Amino acid sequence: MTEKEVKKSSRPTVTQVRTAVLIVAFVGIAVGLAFHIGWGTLSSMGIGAIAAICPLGALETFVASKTLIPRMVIALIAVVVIAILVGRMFCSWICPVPPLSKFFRPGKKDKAGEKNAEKTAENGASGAVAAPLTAEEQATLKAATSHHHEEGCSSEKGHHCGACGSLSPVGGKRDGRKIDSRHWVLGGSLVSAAIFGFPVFCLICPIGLVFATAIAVVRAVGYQEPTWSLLIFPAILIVELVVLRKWCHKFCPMGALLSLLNWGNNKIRPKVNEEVCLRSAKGTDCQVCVNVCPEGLDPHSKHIPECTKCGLCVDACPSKAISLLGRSKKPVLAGSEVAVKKPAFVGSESAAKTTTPDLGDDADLVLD
Amino acid sequence: MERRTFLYGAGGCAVLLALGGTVKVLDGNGEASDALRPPGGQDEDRFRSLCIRCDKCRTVCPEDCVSVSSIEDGLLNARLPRLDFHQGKCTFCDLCIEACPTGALEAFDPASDKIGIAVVDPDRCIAYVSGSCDRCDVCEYDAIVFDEMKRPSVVEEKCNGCGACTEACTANVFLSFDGDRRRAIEVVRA
Repeated sequence: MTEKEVKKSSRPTVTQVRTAVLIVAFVGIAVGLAFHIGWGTLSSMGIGAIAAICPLGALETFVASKTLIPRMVIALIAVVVIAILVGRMFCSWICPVPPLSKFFRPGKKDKAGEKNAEKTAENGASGAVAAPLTAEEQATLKAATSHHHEEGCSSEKGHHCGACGSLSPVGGKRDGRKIDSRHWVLGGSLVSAAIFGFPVFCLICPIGLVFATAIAVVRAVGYQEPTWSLLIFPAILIVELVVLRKWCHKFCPMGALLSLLNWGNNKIRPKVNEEVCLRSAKGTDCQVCVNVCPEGLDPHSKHIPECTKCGLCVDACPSKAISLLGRSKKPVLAGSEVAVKKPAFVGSESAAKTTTPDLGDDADLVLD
Repeated sequence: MERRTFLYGAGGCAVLLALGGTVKVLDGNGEASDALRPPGGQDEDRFRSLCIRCDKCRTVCPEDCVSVSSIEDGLLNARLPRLDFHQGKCTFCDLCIEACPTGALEAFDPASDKIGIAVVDPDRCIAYVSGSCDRCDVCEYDAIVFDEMKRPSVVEEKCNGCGACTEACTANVFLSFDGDRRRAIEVVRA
């Protein structure tokens, strides 16, 4: 229902922008591969000597060769600076692995978000969503809202009282810096490169294999060189994405490295306008942003290095309180006004409520 | 959850170590591949430790002589660049060296360094088999000399493996396919 509403507005959703960026990037890379333009793949992209480098590949070659090559170091520093600035943005904006996972495992995609939608539909509240709130519904809403108010705030004043009536943030499962299995794999990548003297992880890197497959197709079609690479590379890729299932959250050393580099990034990240947020401002037990986050984060939290800036929370927020670039929005004063203007609120709220126990029980529902 | 994290992490590390060891053993000491690397990548151990298989050298090559190894060459070699002079010759334009992001391709001096050395196969060479072919007489480095019977041979000291002779050779190009793409003069590792 949130989607429906968003489609009506003229501004594209973050998801739409992201999809467009991904398509443009991949058409560009494919054209480069097919027509020998030479701007490279995600392992190294750029024109001539001015090119970015895969930071993981660069570190692997450093430990494998035990030498510091000046130009590699310069490229690595540049990429590290970018990573410090934008964090894990790569993961949701450019990396081909998440869309491919969705392609190979349709129906399993974006579990948390879908769950929300399903629950909302079941709830029956979604039917009323598009229509303005009836007096009865408004009353229910008011009751629900004030129900969650802390003591000391009268329910009559509930909607107009900004100081009280705010709920503390839910908090995400993966807020803050946590070392997990991906970091082990990152360590394993570097250790194996050091022991065997070549970047071992590059052999099975799913990002590399995507382009290896594309290159195999180019060689087969353009040069009459059909090889087993055409079958083996996608086969390894499918094993990684389909059989292992949880590549991004459990294994990907690239994501681990980027999250480690995500030190003090406060520029590009979801920022919540606390004056508009239903939870912070009006004490509604809304958990939409936390439930929709594929990384299991709460945008209200100060430190979320795992955030990929995918913008699902921005798109899903029923009161449009979240933005990625942090353009300061004018505070919306009258609370009830917001509720009436954004009828999605009712559905979202109930959805958020119904999904809460599930999310508490098993982190994999969110992290899958 | 902690135990699962450990299992995934340790499993991932174990797979990487096993993979590295296995492909290394299968590869022997690099004998499994006789692929020619782009200029500056002749120190095979160094090259392998630095190449991240990014494909840049292949796509920047204006002569199209940089090709890519396939899985048939082994998992360790797969996706590493290799030179294929059937598509073009190396002009030492250095674009691949400039483009290489990790420095796996070092500075290359065509006067003293060698990609490889050209070798004539008398069983295929038209000049040896039936006479009257001098298509390989294109060497800029005077590395190809012809004897009194007009048969070519290679002066190893002068040859730097640019592949111009291979590109020009017509033996086995228009003949019927005999299961082998090799022409009568091919560059091999020096």
